[in-house]
Amino acid sequence: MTEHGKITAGQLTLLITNTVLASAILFAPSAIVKHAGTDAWLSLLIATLAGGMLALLAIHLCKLFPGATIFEFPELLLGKVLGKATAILYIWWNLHICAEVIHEFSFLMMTAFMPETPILVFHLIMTAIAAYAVWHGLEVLARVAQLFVPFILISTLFLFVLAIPQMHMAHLFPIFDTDPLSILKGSAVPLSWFGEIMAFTAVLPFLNNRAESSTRSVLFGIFLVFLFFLITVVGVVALLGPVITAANLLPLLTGARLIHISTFVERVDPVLVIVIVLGGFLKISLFYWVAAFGSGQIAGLRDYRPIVVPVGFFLFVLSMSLHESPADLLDFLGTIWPVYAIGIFEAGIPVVLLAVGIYRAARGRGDSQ
Amino acid sequence: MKGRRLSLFLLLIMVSLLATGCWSRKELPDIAIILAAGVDRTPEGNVTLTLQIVKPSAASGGGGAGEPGKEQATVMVVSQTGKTVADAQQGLATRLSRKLHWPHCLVFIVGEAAARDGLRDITNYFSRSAEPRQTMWIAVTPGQALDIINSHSEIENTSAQAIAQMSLQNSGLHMEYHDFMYDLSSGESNPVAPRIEIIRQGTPQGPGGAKGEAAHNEAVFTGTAVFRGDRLVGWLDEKDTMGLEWLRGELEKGIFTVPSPSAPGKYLSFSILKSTTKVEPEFVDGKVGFHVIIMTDVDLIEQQDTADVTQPEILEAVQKTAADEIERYARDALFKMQVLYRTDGCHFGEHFHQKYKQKWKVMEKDWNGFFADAGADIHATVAVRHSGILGKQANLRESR
Repeated sequence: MTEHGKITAGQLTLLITNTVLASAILFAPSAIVKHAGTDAWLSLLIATLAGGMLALLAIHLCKLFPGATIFEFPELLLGKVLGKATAILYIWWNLHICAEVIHEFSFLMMTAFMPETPILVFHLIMTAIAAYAVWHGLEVLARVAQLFVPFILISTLFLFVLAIPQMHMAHLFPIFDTDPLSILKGSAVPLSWFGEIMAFTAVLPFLNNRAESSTRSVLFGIFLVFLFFLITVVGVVALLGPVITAANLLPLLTGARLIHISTFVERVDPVLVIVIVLGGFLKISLFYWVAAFGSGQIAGLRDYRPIVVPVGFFLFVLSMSLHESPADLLDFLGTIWPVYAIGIFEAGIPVVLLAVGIYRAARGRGDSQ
Repeated sequence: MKGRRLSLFLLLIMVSLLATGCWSRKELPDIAIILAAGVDRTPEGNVTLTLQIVKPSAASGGGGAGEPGKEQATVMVVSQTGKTVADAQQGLATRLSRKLHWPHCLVFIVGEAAARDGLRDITNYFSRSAEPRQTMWIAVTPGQALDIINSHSEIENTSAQAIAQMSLQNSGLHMEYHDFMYDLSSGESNPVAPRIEIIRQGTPQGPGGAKGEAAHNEAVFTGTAVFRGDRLVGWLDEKDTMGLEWLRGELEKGIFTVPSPSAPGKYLSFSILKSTTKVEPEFVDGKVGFHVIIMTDVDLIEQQDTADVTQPEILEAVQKTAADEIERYARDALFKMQVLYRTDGCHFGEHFHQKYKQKWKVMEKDWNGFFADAGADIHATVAVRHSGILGKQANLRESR
């Protein structure tokens, strides 16, 4: 299986940051605030701590079998049939996320910016561009991340600084007003986004100096995500207030549209569009690469490139047929997705794999003595 | 080589996609830019939407094509009645040669009948659609919104621009649409909006004015519209508006005049530099109370008496008189909100919610009742920061 690319620790951090943030900052604020109200930041903190643990879980899994991806080591742990089945499940999961993100991205572009354009166009163009990036491999993706992610982060920060005159700090209070259960419920949604780090079990083996830097760069990525997620949630609530944030489908966009400093800095939402398009493209490409590369590994191909285009067609069709309406999309993201993603792919299976791995390692040591 | 050829082929396809242009393009000649929107309610319960639309030929500056002295109208006003705002807009759209373009709408005016009937039915369209900006100015008129949209401005090109400029620069209470919607949705507060009216104002000079079109009417702000929930319940005049702004802690600028402490019949005028308001709620024996502390920095800009304000004890008396006046402003406004309208438009609910989180959950529903029966003591302090260029010491900082 050929993927000769190597990525650096810094590139890994940026990839992780973008992968979680790209769609989370668009759709998560409304879902978190719906449950946790003004205590959304608390939900986010809980989700970050839990997300950090999921990241450590992913790192430990990769350390059990240095150099092997999530599509290879289940077979070594669980035997041929169960292992292959697990790997196939993971390919499905990556395809599913990828299709969801294409769908979210297209929905946003159509609703907010180009209402008359057929939604098919966005699905098609985004998949096609991502396919081109995936064709060139992980290293190219990582370098693109190095180029774009700092721009994305700085622009986001810039937008919120411009929005400060429109913010009302009173909207953020009172704190600790929501009951603990609702705060926990609110943390499930961002946690399902943090859990997407599990996809990096296919990326970590390509880190150039795996041993020393993986933990540090992954955790630094999580920290960056937390920082920008927090800025987004707090900023949006300060701009719109909790009630409107929860009711709005795209609170970040509505917030960005409020920006005006006197009459000379206004209508800056095109900056947000650039951020969304770049971030969405990178996120889609990464999951697309994982799915295509994983399929190649399972099938024992020498090169994954021949299946990039077929996978692309599959993604296109899947993303077109996922949700019938925005209500369906948001309901799915807020209620079904956290259970499905965290329960099975982000925590469930990895915990079982790690448990089996540790048990085997312990027994192996016992045998050799 | 094969990969190269494929990518070249793909690139060609991409280029042909780009060359077709965009689907959702909006060319300037195809759109009718809306500057102001007004909504009224007819007696039958229908919605009348009135729009002020830019006339493209006039806005692009005809270059002296019109007769000298006779200005060309830069906008036109269209109006249509429908069951909903969108229904009325559809009625307009079918009669216009261009597509209506919302994002540049500056002001949103609501007629009294529509406001008294409840605003939720009307605002939904403006909140749901991604087209109108949430930063447009909202105002309520005691009459027909149609008349406000129909008015013209002598100084600005259009009345919409005049209203937006006044909202941005002038003192008084001004509301952006999204701030109004926040107050409407939060459950902690009731919204207020500026009141706008047509008033006979000014005498335009020059050829047009001389020909007998002397005094004319313009839309100006004259106070505040008070809501309970989404329904208009009454009005405050300009003085009470200032008191309300002090209570809400939103006063940024303005001038107020107080009787002189030393000479009867003489007056002093102050310009506000900065004002902060602290509201401390309390809940004793099932009764709500508020301690309101208002701290205001002012300039002394006019003095009719001859007292030497550079003397500390005289300055002290002046500051005391000004503080008493502020308290009177705030008390009058609070009295009207509590007794006349029984609605919390002062953001007091927000303060109460922050301090009494558990009790709030029970009281939220009847908050306006609790607010109306609440006791409040208002205490103001004033610091005169500057006294103009008259007097021995222009800067009185150290005598505070």
